[in-house]
Amino acid sequence: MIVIAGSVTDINSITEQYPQTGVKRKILEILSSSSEAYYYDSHKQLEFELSLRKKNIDTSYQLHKSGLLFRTFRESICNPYYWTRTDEGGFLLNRGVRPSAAVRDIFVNSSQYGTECATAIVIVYYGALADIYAEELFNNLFSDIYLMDWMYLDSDLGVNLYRDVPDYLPGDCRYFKNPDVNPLTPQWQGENAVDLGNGMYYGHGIGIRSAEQIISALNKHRVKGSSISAYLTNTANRPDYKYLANRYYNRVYYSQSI
Amino acid sequence: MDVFPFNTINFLDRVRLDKGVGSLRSIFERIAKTNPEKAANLINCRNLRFCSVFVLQPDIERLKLSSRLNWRNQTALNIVDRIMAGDTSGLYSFTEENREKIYPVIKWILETGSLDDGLNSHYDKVLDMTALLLTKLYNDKSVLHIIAHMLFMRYRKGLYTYDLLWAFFESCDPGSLVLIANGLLSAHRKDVQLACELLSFVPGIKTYRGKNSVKTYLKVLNWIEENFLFLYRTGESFQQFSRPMSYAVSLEAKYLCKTVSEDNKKTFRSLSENEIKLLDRFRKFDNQTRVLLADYSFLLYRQNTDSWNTWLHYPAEKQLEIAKAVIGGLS
Repeated sequence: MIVIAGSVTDINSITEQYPQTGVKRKILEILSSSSEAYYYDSHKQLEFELSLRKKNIDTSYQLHKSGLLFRTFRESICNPYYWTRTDEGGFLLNRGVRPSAAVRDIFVNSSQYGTECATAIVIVYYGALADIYAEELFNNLFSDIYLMDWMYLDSDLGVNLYRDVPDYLPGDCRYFKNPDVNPLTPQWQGENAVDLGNGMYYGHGIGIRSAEQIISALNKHRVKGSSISAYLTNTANRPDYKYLANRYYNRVYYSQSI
Repeated sequence: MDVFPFNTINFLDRVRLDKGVGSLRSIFERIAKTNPEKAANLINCRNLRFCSVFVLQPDIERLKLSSRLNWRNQTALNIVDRIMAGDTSGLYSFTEENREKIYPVIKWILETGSLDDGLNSHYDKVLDMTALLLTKLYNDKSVLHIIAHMLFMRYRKGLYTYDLLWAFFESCDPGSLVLIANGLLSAHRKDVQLACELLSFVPGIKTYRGKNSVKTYLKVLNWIEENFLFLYRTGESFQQFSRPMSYAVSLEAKYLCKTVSEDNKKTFRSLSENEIKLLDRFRKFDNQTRVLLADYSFLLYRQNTDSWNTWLHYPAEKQLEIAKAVIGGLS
């Protein structure tokens, strides 16, 4: 059920503006058919979430095709013009460069970058917002990006982990856990993957695969003789869509339509 | 043959610590060229730290001393070679196949190696891999204080902590949380910051704000003490989320006052039919009510088991009424 400005919304009044097979329509249908109530302050806030979720998916495809390398944090690499690689394997935005240009560079000069799956998801989030937000807004809001794992996230992204959620939505970051991983390959302890909305997931290092294929890929990195399979956890990582929407609409100088 | 007693500093370690790795290598080479047996004795000595063996590895090979190394050093360098070659599956199999025999060597690498942590990234990687083997394969909880110390030191310096963090929490030892909580009492701001980050799942712990860390420390200790028997590892890690709930309290176990396994939320003893019925009823409450009932149940259990047993068999409404009256109402 979708509740906008305190009123339950008739889904038919919204859905017809979206193509029947499109991902935005699919998200709307999941939200509206749920027994859970999803609250929005306005139609614009809902529309922003739909757009950003779709953009996260598009950006996942883009990053997958880009040639970004898979490297453990210990062996991570980045383009030193935009980023400084820290001793713990993260990428710290250089002073004097535009955050939007630095994020876009990852998609352009991808072979100069290599990192783990968690960072790739954060890159997807920033990449999607760099496309949606006006440059000035993006650069003001994300002026000191540090790309590592989830530990150092910009609070303005507002990423949160939701456990046992009633509905999983396209654009969610899901987590595949590999409990019996070879302890000497901790990078395969699990896989963060974006739900692409068509039964497929994008996980950096594994690629665009179905849930079964990701599980199968993780299982190859278990200890010898293990009978405990990797599995998809009942969690979802989501940025704070409402906060990001409010930042977007509170600015008057947005240059791109969404 | 032991040249020096175990509790004194080895000659090679002394040279390395006083004059640096370069001096150690040149002095070792000089000794090896004039008296290979003496060089071998020095490096095979029981009280030598792993770091000296690690930095002398190229010289040992170049000076053809490998065959003179004792089993400890040969095994340690074998482990180093496998790690540097990225042969993780080979190393795991090798360790499993020689499980008991290799254990003291792995432990020696971490115990003595940790004293020189931060030497370089290759060295630190070897220490991380041995920490992972000890906690995950050997389930050795005796090294957790070493790992915790390394974690705090590396965090202060901005060095790589990712694998050590995982090794630490994968030990599935709720008691080890005290080692993290100790960081709250440190004079170093970054120690307090890290401890707050790692213990963020403890109710009431907020992001480090630079004050009241003693109060926070006592709060964490109280929480660990009260919930120790009911804490289990959730499996969440920093790969999954910025503030993983590394451990959680099994409210059901606390309600029934039954201890849980540290690596999952299952109780050690099977449940009676009556306990199953009690849990069915308990699960129907919302989380806030379950917390209240579980907290009160354990509080009463510690005070008087007869009273607790009577309370546990009251109707749900009466249980709740008493719990609210003693602990406080739900907000």
